[in-house]
Amino acid sequence: MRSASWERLRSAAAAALLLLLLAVVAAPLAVVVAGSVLDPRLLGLTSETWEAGSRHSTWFSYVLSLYGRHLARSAALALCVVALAFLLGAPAAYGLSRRRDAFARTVAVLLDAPLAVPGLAVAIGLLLAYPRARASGATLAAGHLVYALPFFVRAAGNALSGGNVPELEEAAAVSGAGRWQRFTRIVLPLARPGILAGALMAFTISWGEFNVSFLLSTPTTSTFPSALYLTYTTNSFPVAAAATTLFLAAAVPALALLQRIASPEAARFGEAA
Amino acid sequence: MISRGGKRADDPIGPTAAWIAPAALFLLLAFVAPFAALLRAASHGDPGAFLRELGGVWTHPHTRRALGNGLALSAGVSAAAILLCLPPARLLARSRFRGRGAARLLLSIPLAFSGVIVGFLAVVMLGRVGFVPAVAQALFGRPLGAGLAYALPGLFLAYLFFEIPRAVLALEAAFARLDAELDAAARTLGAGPVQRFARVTLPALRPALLATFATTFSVSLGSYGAALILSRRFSVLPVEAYQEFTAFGNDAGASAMAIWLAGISILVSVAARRASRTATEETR
Amino acid sequence: MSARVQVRRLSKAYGSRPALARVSLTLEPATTTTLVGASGSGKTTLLRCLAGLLVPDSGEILFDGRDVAAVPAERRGVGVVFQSYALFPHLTVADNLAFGLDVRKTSASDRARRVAELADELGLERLLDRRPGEISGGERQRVALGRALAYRPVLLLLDEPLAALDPNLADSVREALVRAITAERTTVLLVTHDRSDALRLGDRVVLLRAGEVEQEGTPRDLYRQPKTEYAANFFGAGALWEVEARAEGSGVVAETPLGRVALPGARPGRLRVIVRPEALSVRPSGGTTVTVRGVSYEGDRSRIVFTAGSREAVVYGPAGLEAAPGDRIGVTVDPRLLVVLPEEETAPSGSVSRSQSA
Repeated sequence: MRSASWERLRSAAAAALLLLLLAVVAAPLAVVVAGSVLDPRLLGLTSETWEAGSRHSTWFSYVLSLYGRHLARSAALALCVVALAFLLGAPAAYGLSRRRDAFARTVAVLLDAPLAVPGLAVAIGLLLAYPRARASGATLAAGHLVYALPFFVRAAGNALSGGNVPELEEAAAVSGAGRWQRFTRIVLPLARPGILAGALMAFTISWGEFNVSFLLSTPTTSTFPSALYLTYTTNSFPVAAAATTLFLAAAVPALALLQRIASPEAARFGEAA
Repeated sequence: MISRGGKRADDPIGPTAAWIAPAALFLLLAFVAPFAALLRAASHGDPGAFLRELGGVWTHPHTRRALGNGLALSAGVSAAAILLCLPPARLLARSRFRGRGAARLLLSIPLAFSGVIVGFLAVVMLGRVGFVPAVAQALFGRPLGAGLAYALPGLFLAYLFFEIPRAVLALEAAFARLDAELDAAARTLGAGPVQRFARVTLPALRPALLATFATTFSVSLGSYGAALILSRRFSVLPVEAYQEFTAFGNDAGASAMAIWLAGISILVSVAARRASRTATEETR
Repeated sequence: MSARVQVRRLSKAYGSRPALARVSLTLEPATTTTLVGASGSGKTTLLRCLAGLLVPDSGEILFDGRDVAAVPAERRGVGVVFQSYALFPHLTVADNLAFGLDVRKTSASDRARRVAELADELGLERLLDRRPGEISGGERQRVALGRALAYRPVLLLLDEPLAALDPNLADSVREALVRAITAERTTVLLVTHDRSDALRLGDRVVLLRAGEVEQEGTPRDLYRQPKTEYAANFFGAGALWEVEARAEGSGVVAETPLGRVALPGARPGRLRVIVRPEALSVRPSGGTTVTVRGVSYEGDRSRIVFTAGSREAVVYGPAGLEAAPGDRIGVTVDPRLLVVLPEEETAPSGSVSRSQSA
């Protein structure tokens, strides 16, 4: 009897704590999203005067006029990072899922190593190593990819490590499929859920990346998170709120989709994001 | 007799090293080379100078305070995040209830955030004209919590907000991996709830707890967006490094700080991995 | 398009553990050879070497006289039915069947024709649009067989094709398997650990023991004329009795615990005889009197362990046999069903130590 009541008490406490966490996360998001469409004074939030932005029909169009280019650049950069993560990461995941030699082990360690290194350190290192690549945005993309690649490889690799992929590949080989055919017709389709999850992770990481980007971006390559910093320090609350809402508009669907297709992958995302 | 060189591996079907090579080359160029550049910049090619630069970060009171702030904040936030998220994570892993997916999604949203956004959210809620003080003003007639965002508790809460998804999702996965039969077995052996938690669940979770701590610690230590927005008097080392690099062009100093940050993070994750390895060996 | 496959002194070790030691054998075109042995005897290793999935340490594999060492698996033209079937889960049954033709860039019309032919032959017509996860175990086995046969392999390898099936299903599946293989007229090597499958399904049987060929021959040879005690017991366990045989008249007669037995074709001297239960029968009266040691009821018959003199053996009696340990019953022996081993146990050819020094 004691055990049962204890169990109920424990569940109730856990549920209460869960609700608290949900409230802590949801409340600021709700205030910000509401603030992007409502008069912030309704939220008791601002005493500042309205900005020049009032000639725009909404705060969103004002944000787009100010930071539309950053937004487009971030989207393009994120898609580029996803594509590169796929091109480098899918073959690597395949190789790492099967090879156990010293080279593979070294690369596996190297792949995860950036996760323990602050983004600013990587950014300073990239700038020092390739001082002239900054303007092109190449170092920016590289910095994002360094952090996105381990997640992509892990997600794709998980899809390949379960089940009997090696045997299916053998079956394909004896049926006459060469290396490339085996990769495209057997390995890639089998890894598809993992690749999709990895792509969403890569997108999310790049879309929100600030630690590397802030130092590496130039006025012509600066991304939306940097624009958010700008808006937080220079613009009024409704503008900042609208900008943040635009940021969420891409990030939340990506996370939702990630959770739909692969909650275990999503969990791993949490383990080392 | 066929003579075969070492060219063909035992597994003639599996992937060759060439599949890994592009990613390896990329990591070499985009991670190893930059790291080497950091070391080179901090040393000017002279090991003595390298040690002086590194030592300088420690001896200079300003940077030492920033480093200490970051370490204390990261350790405190990581510990708090784990303690706070442990029961909800268990609930998410073990119970099936309506809205579970939505709850998990909501908790995962801060994963996509940079520290800057978190800082902004802290200002919105706990700034001088924040939402919480406004509500408090309306309810109690006093703007409770006004300006809290700019003080240490605000920074702590902001970092905590940042670490919640990492801790919840990682611990949920750990609970899901945990064999539920273990608890049942301990129960049949007569262990009470406290004993079961202390002697069965906690040891089994130890590797995950250590890994989660290492992750949240590294992320907090390296994140500076929130501090950039929030802290006026309270600096952390990445902010110092950023300013040293951009405002003063002090490559060597900034590199030394970056090496400190990277070194500590790497040390913590290696230590966590070591400790969790011995933990699993003990339980065998 | 079936090949004559020769294996010559093939050796393969995993680390320091030898899996195959100087194995030589020949698979004749359009015949079925069963490869049988206990687990760990090297059956699968040999199959994988033939398929090109494993690189042997030494030795040769010849397809119609051509060394295939340098030919990768995808160009050997070998069909393999894997033990787990290894069907591609993301492809339909039709696409699984067509896979080998597809990667060979066979024209769509030829492909469709061959898939239809195989589906008809294997009874898969109604499953073509399903995926492997949606069909039964027996159906999966047929798909795996069809996939391996589609591109008309020069050699078909089957790795325990019946092991994953429900025993109740195995009989009908076995017949279908034999029909399909015979229809395709290719060279077949079928790996099994089941002795009766080995004898039933093979034109020839190869018995492997610890990576070496213990004996090969027709099913009848292996069962009736085993060359070693191991081979004899592998196909039908019996008691090993050493007996003294003398020439008497035109024949040879041995003194056994079950009386004097004529052994046609044997040489006089000290002989080792395997006494399988089928060589013995229980007689209500007559025969040699023996002592019952134990009786176990097996449904349609009783298994009786008895001693005759100091020797022990097993005989099957009718299900209703009333006997208890200590009882005395009469047993007769049919000399034609006794297995006389060659006088000297020949050490298995090419033992491990010798092959290593080679």
